[in-house]
Amino acid sequence: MKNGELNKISTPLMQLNFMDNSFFAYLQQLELLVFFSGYPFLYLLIGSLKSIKFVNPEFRKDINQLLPYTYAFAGVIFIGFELKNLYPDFSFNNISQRIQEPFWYVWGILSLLFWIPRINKIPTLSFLHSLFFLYLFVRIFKKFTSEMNTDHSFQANNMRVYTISLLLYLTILFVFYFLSFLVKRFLEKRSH
Amino acid sequence: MKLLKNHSLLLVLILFSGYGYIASCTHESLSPLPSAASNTPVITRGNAVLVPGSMIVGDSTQWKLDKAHCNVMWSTNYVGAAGLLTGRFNQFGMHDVTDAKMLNYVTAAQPLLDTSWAFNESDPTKTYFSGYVQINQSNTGEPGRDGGCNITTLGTVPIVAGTQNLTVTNIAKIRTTDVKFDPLSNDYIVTINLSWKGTLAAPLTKSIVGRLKYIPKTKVQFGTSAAYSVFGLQLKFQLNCRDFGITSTNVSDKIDIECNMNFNNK
Repeated sequence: MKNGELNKISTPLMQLNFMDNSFFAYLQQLELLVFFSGYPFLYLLIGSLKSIKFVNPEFRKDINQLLPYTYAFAGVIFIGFELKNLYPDFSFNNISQRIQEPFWYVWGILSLLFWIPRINKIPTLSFLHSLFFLYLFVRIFKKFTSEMNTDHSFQANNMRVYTISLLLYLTILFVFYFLSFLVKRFLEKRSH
Repeated sequence: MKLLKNHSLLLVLILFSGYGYIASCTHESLSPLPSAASNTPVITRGNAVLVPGSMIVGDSTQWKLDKAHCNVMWSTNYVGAAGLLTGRFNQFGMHDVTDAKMLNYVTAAQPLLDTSWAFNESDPTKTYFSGYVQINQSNTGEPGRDGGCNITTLGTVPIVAGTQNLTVTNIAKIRTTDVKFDPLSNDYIVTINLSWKGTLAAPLTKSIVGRLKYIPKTKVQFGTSAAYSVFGLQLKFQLNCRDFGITSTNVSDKIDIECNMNFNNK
């Protein structure tokens, strides 16, 4: 079924204008939200550790430095996910058909820039970059809340996506911190 | 200042997330689970008491067998293996035909009043019925068969025009010995004695279990004529024709019988 045909189906979901009447566009927004919408919360949470005195300053510093890498790694997973969806047809035609909103995709792919040391030295940039996805999330949530207030299923689904994103970032951060801890210990032992 | 901003933003995000989780609550976990589907059959029985009395026309308390709108049908597998052979009995009634009444009646109408029955919807011990069919009145729609091989096969005699043959060679009778509720439906389980000579030397009586369905009483009215009530009784049972000496391989051992009796109180 082509998008045009799908758009003719009259469902409450597709009557919402914010997704250009495209169900696929909505699904792709959800994909982006899974990979990026949880980052602002994590960033602010880690940032607030500064005010907690009993938190080890070294831990604070290490974990703060890992934040942009976490964000960049989520970008890698996002690209891997999209490549998996495109497989085995990587033709331009297929890519253009699948990607409904190229700008969102490009913005998501830009998260890979935070692998570059010069850029990831400034964690605030990653926060600012991720605010776009937070805005996207708030916009979707607001739309569903105002236009479909009789059914909470969409909000529940959006919040589930948001929760998965938060858990994804917490997991990545934990793994990164654990790995960096091991590397640090290994290097210290070697230096002794 | 920066710290304050950081905290403020975090607070805003926490509040928004909290609102999101609350607003998205579908209360699914709070809703009581729907009750499990019941395996218990829904059985509703009224308390109709229906009796024929003397079948006096115009007495709405007396129920009359509407023979013109009744039938007694039989069916069996052709040669015991293929599709159904079916037929109906043109002449039948609901009368307890005792030995003394087993005669030839020169009449085109019902030879005996159809009064040997009573139905009590809520008390099956008060329900009973007797009935009969004239074997040579079996009608399969094939005259050659009905007046030919059927006669010899079933051990009876040909039809004599204008005569109702209720003699022992031509009558099969049923009489209830027990009627009880079916625990799984609105129906009743009936035990009947089936008496039929078939090709045997003397009539044989077999006890058979069948199912009786009551089609509830309903008032009907057509045009300007007076309203009246109708109800139905449907009896189904099965017999083994070999018990009665029927040896024809054209028919299966098992013969299914279905009696659809309609009554009115006109």
